[in-house]
Amino acid sequence: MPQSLEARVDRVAPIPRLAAMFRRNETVLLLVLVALLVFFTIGSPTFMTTRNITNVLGQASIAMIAAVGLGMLVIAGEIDVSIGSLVGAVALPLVVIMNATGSLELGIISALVFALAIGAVNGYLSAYLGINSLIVTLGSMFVIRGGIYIYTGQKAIPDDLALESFYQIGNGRLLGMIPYPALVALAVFAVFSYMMGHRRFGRQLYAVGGDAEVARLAGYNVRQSKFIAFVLCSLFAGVSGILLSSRLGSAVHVSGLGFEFQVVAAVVLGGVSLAGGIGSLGGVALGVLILAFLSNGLGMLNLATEWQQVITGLIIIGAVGLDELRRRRG
Amino acid sequence: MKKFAITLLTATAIMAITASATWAQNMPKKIGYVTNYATHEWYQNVIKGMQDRAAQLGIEFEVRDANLDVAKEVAAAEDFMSQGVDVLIVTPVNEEGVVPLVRRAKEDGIPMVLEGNPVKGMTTMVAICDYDTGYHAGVAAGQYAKDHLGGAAKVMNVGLPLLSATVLRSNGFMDGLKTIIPDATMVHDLDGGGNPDRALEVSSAALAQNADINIIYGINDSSSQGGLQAWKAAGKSQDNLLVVGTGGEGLGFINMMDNEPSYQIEAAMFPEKVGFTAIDAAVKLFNKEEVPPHIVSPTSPMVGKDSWKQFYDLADNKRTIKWDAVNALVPADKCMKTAADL
Repeated sequence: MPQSLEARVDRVAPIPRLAAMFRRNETVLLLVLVALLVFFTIGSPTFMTTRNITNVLGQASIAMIAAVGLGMLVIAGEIDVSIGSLVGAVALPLVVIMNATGSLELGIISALVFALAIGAVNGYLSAYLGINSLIVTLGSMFVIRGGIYIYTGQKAIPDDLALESFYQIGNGRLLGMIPYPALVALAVFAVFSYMMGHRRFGRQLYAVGGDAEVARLAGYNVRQSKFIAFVLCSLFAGVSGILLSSRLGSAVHVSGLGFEFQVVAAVVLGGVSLAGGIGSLGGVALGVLILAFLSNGLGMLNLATEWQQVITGLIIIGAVGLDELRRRRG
Repeated sequence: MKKFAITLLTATAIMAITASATWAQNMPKKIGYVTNYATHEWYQNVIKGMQDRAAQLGIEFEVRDANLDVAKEVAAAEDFMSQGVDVLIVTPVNEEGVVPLVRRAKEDGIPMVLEGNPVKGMTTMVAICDYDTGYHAGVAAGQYAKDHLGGAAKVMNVGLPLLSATVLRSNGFMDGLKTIIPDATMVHDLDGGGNPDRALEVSSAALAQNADINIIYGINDSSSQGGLQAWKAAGKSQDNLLVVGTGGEGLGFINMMDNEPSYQIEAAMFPEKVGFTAIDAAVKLFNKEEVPPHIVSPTSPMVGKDSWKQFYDLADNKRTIKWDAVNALVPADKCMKTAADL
């Protein structure tokens, strides 16, 4: 007896749903992350311990916060390669003001204002004057780094007052277990993941990054959207810089060198298209975690640093290549 | 008699077993070393020295490379701590940047040895004395100039003024030189950047301005190499020239001593011995022994073409340290001068 169309659809439906699930970039990344965790757990008896896992989460938080900001900017169709220099630079107002006033709060406010100012300059030059964001932020990267060297005379500025609160924000743990930076990263991720997925703010960034002209015709303010994305990107890099400075107990003139590559790699690995309009913060977070656990796990297997770099590079190329193939096959 | 012999043998065996068990208990099981830049020959040889000493003592030894990234250095040290290493050795990428790490290691009860540079709050550091290294090379250079260069000493210092360690080497060299030749002068005081390209560039410019020198001093092997290349590029003979290098980091100085007639003195700093000493310091800390804040690793000027052979063997383009010769060197109790004296 011939079956109805509905019955046939019902019977075959689970398979496409499963396939659809695997077509999601985040699912693939999650599987990669789980596979890595299993592999390293088998390979090293000290890998899957509370101490190690919370350690890695604390370390990954610095990149995670900056990656949320950069991820949104790349989705909006722009890029910022000055975040590494900014991470190093915000430590200067933070530590200098803190040393002068004895107030951590004033130091943090100064650092965040500095980060916002850099973001506003990058955003204005790119979004309103139309200069390519790679060129603008490449220039900013050199200007900021050079400024750090000039100001510090290429020497670190220590936290003279040794404020306990400053030490705690980057090194302390909730209930002696969860690093505070991980809580900050979780909060930033949760709020902006929701904003990107469920609010007009997110739809606007996707639209602007996907096709700026269509977004404009749909009534979105393209320039303003991109400007806001630049400012947020710098703001989050500033937050990362504050936490990193606390972990280093000082404003270290060489901190943040190469940080931008680490974050860009995580964003791209997380499935965000450098062309804009595609990707999710969930993918970005998984990208950050994969790179962090990869670095930790390969180290625990006592693999030489040069091989760690080769393997990390191959995994990034492989993951992005697979993602590209997956997209092309629809 | 037979019964007595058996009793004696048994007692000896028990004592030997007990002694070896005690010895084993006093050794850390695992030491982790976070180096700042494993690509550099100096640190490769520091690691070699650590590996050799750890193997001698039966200690498991692991290395992580910060690759000049201070955040990565802190993360690598944290990874070691969560792995449960018994002692941590760290060469700081930046001395200020590892202050919280020193505190965390103390809170976790993990002894830490610093290598190379002091850090606030540290227990101990293993390092050479930079001033003394330069000073003793200066004395040897003065003697050489007296014997072979007619007692004149006009120096081109291919230095690195940015770092206190290298300033101390240059100052020590001139002070040592003046103990033999009081009217020795520094004709050129250059910033060679510590690398051969920059050293060649600034030395060439200096020699074009005034080539009336007879001693080239380099704060590391790359600097002396760059200075000598500039001398040769200017078409000058090495007949009345003395080149003094510092470091003995890798194979470069051996090639120079073998092939360049003027390269007669190397202020050797024995990176392998630094590593060896750091492991010994780690064992002492593990056993809660008293250690000085600065454990000095010995240095010595090598004078003459074949002098390096006293301390190294060379085969298949690899050098091997002669531990007996290097371990026979007696380190100073404390440095003649330190960065605090600048």
